[in-house]
Amino acid sequence: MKYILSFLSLCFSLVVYAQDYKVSLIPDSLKENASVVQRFEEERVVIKSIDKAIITHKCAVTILNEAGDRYSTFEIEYNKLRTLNFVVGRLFDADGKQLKKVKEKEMADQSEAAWFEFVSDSRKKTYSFYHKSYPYTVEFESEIELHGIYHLTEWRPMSFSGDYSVQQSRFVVEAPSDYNLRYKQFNYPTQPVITTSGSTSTYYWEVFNQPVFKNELWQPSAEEYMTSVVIAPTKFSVGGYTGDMSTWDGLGKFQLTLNKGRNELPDNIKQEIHKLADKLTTKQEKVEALYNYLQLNTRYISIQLGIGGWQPFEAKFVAEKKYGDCKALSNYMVSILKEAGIDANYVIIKAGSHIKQGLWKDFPAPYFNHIICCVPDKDTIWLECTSQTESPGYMGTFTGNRNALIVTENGGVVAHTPVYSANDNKTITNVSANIAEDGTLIADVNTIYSGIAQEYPHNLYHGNTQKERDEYYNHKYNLPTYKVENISYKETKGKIPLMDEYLSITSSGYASITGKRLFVLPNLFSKIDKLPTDKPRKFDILIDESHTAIDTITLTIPKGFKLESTPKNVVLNNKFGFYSIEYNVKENIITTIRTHIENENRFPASDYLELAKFYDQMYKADRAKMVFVKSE
Amino acid sequence: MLITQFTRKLFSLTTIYFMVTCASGQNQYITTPASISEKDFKVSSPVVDSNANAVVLVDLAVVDFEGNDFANVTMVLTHTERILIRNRNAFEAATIKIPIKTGEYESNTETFEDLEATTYNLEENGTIKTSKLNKSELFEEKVGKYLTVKKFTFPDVKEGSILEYKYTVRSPYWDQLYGWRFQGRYPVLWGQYQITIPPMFDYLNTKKGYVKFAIDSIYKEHRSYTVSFPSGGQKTHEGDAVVGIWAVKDCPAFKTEPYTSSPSNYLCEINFFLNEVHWSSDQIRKYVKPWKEIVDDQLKRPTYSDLTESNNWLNSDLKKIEGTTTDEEQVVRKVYNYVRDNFANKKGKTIMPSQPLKKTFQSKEGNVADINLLFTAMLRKIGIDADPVMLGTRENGKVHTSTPLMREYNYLVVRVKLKDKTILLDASQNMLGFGVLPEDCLNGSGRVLNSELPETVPMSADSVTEKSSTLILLYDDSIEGLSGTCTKYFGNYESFNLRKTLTGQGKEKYISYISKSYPSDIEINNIAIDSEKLYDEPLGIRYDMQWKMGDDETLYLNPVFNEGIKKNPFVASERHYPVEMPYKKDNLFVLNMDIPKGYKVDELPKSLKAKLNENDGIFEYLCHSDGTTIQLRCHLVFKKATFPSDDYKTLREFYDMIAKKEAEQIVLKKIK
Repeated sequence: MKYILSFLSLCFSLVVYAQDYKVSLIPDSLKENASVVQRFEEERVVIKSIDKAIITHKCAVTILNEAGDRYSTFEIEYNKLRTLNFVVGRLFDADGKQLKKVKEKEMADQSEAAWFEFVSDSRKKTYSFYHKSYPYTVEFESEIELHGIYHLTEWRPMSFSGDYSVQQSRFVVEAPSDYNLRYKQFNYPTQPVITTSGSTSTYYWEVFNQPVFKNELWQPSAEEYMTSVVIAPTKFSVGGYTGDMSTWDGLGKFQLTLNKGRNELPDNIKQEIHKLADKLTTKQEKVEALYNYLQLNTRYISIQLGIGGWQPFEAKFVAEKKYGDCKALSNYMVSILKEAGIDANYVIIKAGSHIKQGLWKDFPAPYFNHIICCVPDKDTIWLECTSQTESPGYMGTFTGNRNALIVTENGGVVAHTPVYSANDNKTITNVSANIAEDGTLIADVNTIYSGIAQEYPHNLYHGNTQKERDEYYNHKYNLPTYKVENISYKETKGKIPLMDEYLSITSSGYASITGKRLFVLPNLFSKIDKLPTDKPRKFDILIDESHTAIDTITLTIPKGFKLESTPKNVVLNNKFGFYSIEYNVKENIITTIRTHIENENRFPASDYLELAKFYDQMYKADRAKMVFVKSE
Repeated sequence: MLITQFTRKLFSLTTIYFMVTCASGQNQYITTPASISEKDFKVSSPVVDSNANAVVLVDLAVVDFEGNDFANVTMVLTHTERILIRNRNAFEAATIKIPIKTGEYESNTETFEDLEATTYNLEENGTIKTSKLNKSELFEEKVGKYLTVKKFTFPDVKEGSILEYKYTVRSPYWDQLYGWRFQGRYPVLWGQYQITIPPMFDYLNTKKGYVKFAIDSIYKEHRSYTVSFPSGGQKTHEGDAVVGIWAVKDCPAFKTEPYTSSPSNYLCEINFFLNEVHWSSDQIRKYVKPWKEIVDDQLKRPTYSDLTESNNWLNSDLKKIEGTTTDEEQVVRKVYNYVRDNFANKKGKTIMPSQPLKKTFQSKEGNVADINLLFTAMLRKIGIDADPVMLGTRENGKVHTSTPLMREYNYLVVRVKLKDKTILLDASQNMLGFGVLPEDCLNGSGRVLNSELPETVPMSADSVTEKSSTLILLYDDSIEGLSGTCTKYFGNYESFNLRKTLTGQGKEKYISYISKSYPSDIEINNIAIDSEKLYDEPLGIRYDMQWKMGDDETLYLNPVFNEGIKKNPFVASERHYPVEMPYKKDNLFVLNMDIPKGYKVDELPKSLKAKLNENDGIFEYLCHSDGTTIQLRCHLVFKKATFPSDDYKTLREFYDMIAKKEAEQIVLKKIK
């Protein structure tokens, strides 16, 4: 398991205006497919100085039906570095008449961390209007004050939710004219309107009438098709530290100042490090031994207080308490490696399996939510320090294949984390099975998972008890009544880790017997689903993971049956991938070999139907049945 | 394992004055746990196997009372727990969270004192290294207005560490005396709870669970308590205090099985309910009173008392709702629909109203009690005989029907008496059908809040049947194969849940789920949903089916299509508690199909009838062909919802048989 730090929170905030929320003013085009129509939004960032800003946010949405009720809930996070000046909520009926006004006092005040994360000074105010007379409109308005500027804010006026349209949304940034505000915009057709009065410059972005956005399977990252604007300072100051983030180098240097003097290790730890590492010869061996030492001796506990959201605890704190968050543990790992004479760096990264882009190289800003450690080399070794079980060097779906910021002794450098190919991510399954007279299947299954494919079994193996694994497997398969037993694993650590899994399955009624016939589905496990084709495809198709699956299944059926019908062998080879399934029946032994290879790739939307056809062919081939008749 | 909620149930109910001592000789009561030695790091116990990520070595709680300066007594809990962390998956057990009640004054605030926490690690050389928690590492977070969480995490924790902590809480809330849960997610080698109840108090005590106590003893001891008055002066209360000691030895970890009403019904636990307080012989207060008095008191509480007011502010709206309808039941339905559709239940399940009825009516929101009391008032206003009924939900645990323990009640519905029938209604759940109670309410019975006759009304899962029916018609269309329709009607609960799903995730997702549930040669079109907004009607779904059969020599078809039971829900081979289904079932599936032209039946699944026990369930699978058509009737009936654990194996086999039968296929051959 890995953990993310929580300092990246979307900033919701606003300004006072009298709006007309009559439902009759909503254009029909915005009601199509919508449960919610955003009527008005203004996010206003007023930058007062290098370390002071006020963010006001006002947003009103009209809820058309029950499905939209979840948008009548408001949430705003605050802490010592972002204090909440005020928040107010209002409820309006279909005619735009105000029914209710809710002040801060009436809102629930929750600690984010109370029962979950260990310690945090972040709290949130929340309120829900669960009104029942549709349509109705809710408006929330808030003001946040930033004490110190580091991560500013982002404007994302559109929603992924599939039932949300936008009538209007505006982003306004006011800054001193000499502030050097930087911004990056996505899918915004023009440049912002910039006006200057006195010593203040004001930037405006605004969108109108955005219909409901429908998601598609395997669509590219949001920035390719949705409007958004990211802003960032040039020179900034937070928690008594200052920096300049106009370059990645500068952002890295700022982190260096935060980390300064936090690498010192107590003597007993130094001795342990030397005892472990000095006898080893290669760098690789030393890194592995010391990473293992970290994993055995520490655990993850999150502590986020004030500037502590960005600054690691000192290495000697971790050495004593044996716990820390991603920052503290990564900083500790860097310190350990340095003590052993190995150059290592603190790395800032955006973690998460859905992240397709870690950072935009041309726009340095703190997009990040996680810290890892790396040992720079021709073939850099990357280390996830919050996990007690991960292989040294493996990043996987959580932190692999993206740009990250390495904090070197001289400043920040952008580097790409490892990419995993179809040859790395493999699922190789070998099944040897027997079908008894009554249709009962007894199968011995061995699967070797590698790379990304081993992440699930890895977590199952390390994070669960034998009993929990039994339970998981006894629910996993789509078989009538079955029992999975003798589950065991063999793990091989490495840059491409392997999990070797053994299990045996007994499934009564696997082969169905109707009178004199025996129906057998020779492809036991790997089954592809169809792709939906009911709507025309709009976006490019982005296959973001490569994978190889090979299943070899040997099935022995009871003697005295003869083959009545057998599915045809199928070989499909096209730009989307390779698929083949072939059957070989020798007396009462059926051998089935199924292969499927898919590569990370991008295809135009016009290819979609062809891709769906490919999936349909695989769907059918995967489920083809063999029929045997009892010999007279 | 400290319990702060007391709304749980039990199997036995005794007053604590009853004296029993049945401690067996070898199970010695512990005052202080022995100091940690090397052998503690290697436990061996019948309840510890490779699945135990941690083991509670000792869990000791002592509850005592002492006089305070507010003319009262304070309850003092001292808790000591020692846990062995066997592997990293139990690291979360190294972070301790203790809830503390806070109030505006010192006299209603709990205090947290004397925390000591130490990690013990066995070093390679056999010595034991200790690491103590610093005072600065105790954090506190305000969770709500009256609740604070104290938390800390142990230093220097590794696989194999032993963690020990001890603290004291002083609490003025003796009306919610600490109960104890002996069982949890980790096995407990020794768990012990001791209480000394002052002579001024009397509590009812309840025990539950299947674990036997190793010590179960109660005796009397002379004690005195001196309380001070804020105005000066003191008073001493003395007499026979009741000392109770309960302990468990080798208590297994608890595991929840499917179809369990609430795990809290089966965990090993002891609870206390305040029965009586007598500060002096002329100053006695009863808490557990006869039902009639309890109901009277409840009806005099705020908002409940609104029911007896004239409530004339309802008049004009009621007129509009009633319209010209005169039929009694129709009027009730109209008022029910109005309340159900226009009021938002946003404050949850409770019998405690949060505001006056008028406020609920105006704001159109409230909790379950607010909304159903308003509904009662509206019905009474138009002359309908309506009473609130309180109950405990399944999730909340079973209730003692004979003893009024108000903490066991957390839900309110309404009983309406019409000329010819009695109906139970819940107007607080959006989309719920008329006369249907939520699944969670089917927990045995409810208590009518009527001063004259505070009777019970049955609300049992064994009294409700969930009926569904599916009809598939397939005709030879002489073009591509067979085409036809599927019509399905859901039961009340499935309808209610499906309506919620349709609203929540949208119709599209559900429709694509249906299409996907058929094999690829069967095409599904024109899916329509019936009665989606007619909440009193069963939800229906209809669609067209087209079986493109091509020109194969042999055709195979599973005649129950996607309706069959594909998986046995009872995975575990053994069960320790009863199987509690939410309701009885009656599922009917009927297929009528033409045999496609040019084909003849080669094989049909054999018809079968099976019974579960004597008459607890029936499964019928009748398949028949007359040469041109095929008929199938598949009927599954459960006449009981609750099955004792002894029936588990039979039930599991019954499901097994159904899954196999419903996997069978029809075989058609081309006529040569």
